[in-house]
Amino acid sequence: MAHDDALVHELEAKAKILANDCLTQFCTFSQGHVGGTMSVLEIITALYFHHLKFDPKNPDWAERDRVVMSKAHCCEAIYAALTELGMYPKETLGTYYCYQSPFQGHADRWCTPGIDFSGGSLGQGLSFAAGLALAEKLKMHYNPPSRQDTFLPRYIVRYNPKYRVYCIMGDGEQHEGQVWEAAMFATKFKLDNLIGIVDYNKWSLDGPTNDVMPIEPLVDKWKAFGWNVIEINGHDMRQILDACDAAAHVTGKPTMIIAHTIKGKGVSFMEGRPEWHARALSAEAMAQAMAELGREWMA
Amino acid sequence: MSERISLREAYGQALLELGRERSDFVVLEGDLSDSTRTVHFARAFPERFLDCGCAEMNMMGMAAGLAASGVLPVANTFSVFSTMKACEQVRTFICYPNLNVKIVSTHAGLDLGEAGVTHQAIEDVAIMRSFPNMTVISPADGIETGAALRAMVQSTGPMYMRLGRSDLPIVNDRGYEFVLGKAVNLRAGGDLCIIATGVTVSAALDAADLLAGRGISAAVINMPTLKPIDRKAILRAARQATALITVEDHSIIGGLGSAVLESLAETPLVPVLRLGLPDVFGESGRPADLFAKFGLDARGIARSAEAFISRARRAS
Repeated sequence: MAHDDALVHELEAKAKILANDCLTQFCTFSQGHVGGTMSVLEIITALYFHHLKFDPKNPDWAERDRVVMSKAHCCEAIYAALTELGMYPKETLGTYYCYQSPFQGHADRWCTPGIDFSGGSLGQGLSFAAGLALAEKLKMHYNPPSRQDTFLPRYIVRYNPKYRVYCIMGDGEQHEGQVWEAAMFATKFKLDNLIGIVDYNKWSLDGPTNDVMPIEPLVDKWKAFGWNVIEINGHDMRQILDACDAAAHVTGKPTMIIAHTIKGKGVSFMEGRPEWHARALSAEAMAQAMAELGREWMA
Repeated sequence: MSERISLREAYGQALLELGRERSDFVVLEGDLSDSTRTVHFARAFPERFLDCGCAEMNMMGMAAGLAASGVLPVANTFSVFSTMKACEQVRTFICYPNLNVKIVSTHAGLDLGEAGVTHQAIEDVAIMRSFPNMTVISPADGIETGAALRAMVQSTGPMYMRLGRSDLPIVNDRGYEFVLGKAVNLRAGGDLCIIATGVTVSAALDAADLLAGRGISAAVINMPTLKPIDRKAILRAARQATALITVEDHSIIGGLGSAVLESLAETPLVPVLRLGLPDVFGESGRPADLFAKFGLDARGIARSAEAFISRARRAS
C-alpha cells in the first residue's frame, strides 16, 4: 500500500516534536540515553501515530497492538509519544527519572499505563513478546471461529490476528543468547503476529557493535532462524511504513525488520558519537540541537 | 508406609488428572518431559503441551508473556535450570510483576544422585525464597505432591515447587489435606523437635524411632511450604522442645534451616541445629550413599540430634 506524501511529511514533523521533547528532558535532568533514543524516534512515531492499533483513552484495551520496548533504556521516546497522544499532561515529561514518576528510568509496565513491558535487562523482551503473541493464538484455539482454525503448532493458522506484538531491540542486544532462544521459539510456533525491529545504530557501550562482538551477517542470521527479514533505512519514514505493512501480511513466520539507523540522529554533534549513549546536554548544546531540528529552545 | 512413588511420577499423574478436569492452563517443558514426567500430559493433551526445548531463559520469559495475557502456564524443568539458568527471568519477569506462573522443578538436591553436582540443586530454595512474591513448596510424598499441585493452580501468583528424583514412602495420612503455608505435625515428642522437608521427612521419622530407642523423645514436623513458612508452628515447637533440628536436602545456607532461624530471630527460644549440605557441593553417587555421607539419613540425623541435645542440656 502506497503511503501518500502528506502522511509521510506529517509523521516526519511529529518525529521532530518527539525529538524536541526527548532532548528537553535529557537537558533538564542531566541524564538519559540520548543516542539510542534519537535513533529510534522515526520508528516510534510511525508505530504510535499511524501503524499501531492503539487507543490512548483505553491503554488496556485487550485487542490493542502491544509494543515491547526491549531496549528499554530508550523508553523516553515512548514517553514522548504517549504524552503527545494526550495520555499524560506535558508536565509529566518534566518528572522523567524522578521518584514516583510514571516516567521511570527504564519503562515499567506496572507503573505506567501505555507501557507493555518492564524492560532494561537486554535480551529478554523478545521472549516476553513471543509469550504475548502466543497467548493471542492460544486464545484463538479456545474460541476458534471455525472448526478449521484450530491452533496446533504443526499447522499454519490463517486468520487475521486480533492484535500484533512489536518488539524493539538494540543491536548490542543481539549479543544476548536469549534473543536467539526466542528466535527459535517464534519460528517453531509460527508466530506471524510477532514483529521484531532491530534499531541497528552500530554502537554499543564499549565501541562499535561489530568491534565489541560482531553480529554481522545480521540479516542472514535472522533468515537462518526462519524469520521473514526486511532491511530498511530506519530514518526513512516511507520505508518504515512499508515494512510494517509488509510484515502484517506475512503468515506462518515472524518478521524481523532490521532498521539501519544513526545513533544520535538529527543533531550533528551527536550523530554516530558513542559518548552520546548517555550524557547530559548543556544549555548551549541544547540550543544548537534545537536549531538543527528546526525548533526553538526555550530555556 | 508400604507404597513408594517418586514425587515426579506422582506429579506427572496429578498433572494429567488436572488436565482432564480443566483446560485453562498450558504445560511448558524444557525438553525433559520423560524425566519430569510431564510426558503423561504431553501424550494426552498435545495441543496444550508446549515444548520450549533446551532453552530455559526463553521458557520463563515467554511464560511471563503468557501469564500477562491471562493464560496460566505450568513450566517444567530441573531445579538447577529453573532457578539458576533462568534466575533473572524468574525474578524480574515473573516475581516483580507478580505474574501467575507455576514453576515445577524436579531432580532437586542430592536425591538426584549419580548425575552429580551440575544437576544437583542445593541452592534453589535459597534463591527462590529471596524473591518477593514467590511461594516455595517442597512436598514430602506423593500424596502431598498431588495436593500441592492443585493448591498451586487454584492460587494466584508466582509459585515454585521442588521435587526430587527417587521413590519415597508415603508419610502423610491418606485423608490428609494440604494447606498452603501450614506445617504438618507427624509425630509428637517432648525432648526435641525435628523440622524436615521433602525427601528428608521420612528419614526424620526413622531417626525419631532410633532416638526413642535411646530414651530421647523427638517430635517430627513436615514443613511442605518453605515460603511463606508456618512461623506459628515453629514458635510452638520452639516453646515445647529443648532443641530444634532442621533437616533438608539443600545447603544449610538460605533454605529451611535459615527460614526457621529467621522465624526465631526476634524471639530466640531454643538452640537450632541445621542439617543439610554444610556449604559444600554434593557429588555423584547413589542418593543413599550421599545422604549417609552428609548425615542426612536416619542414622546420621539421630546421631547429630543426640549429640546436639546433650550439649543443649549441659548448656541450659
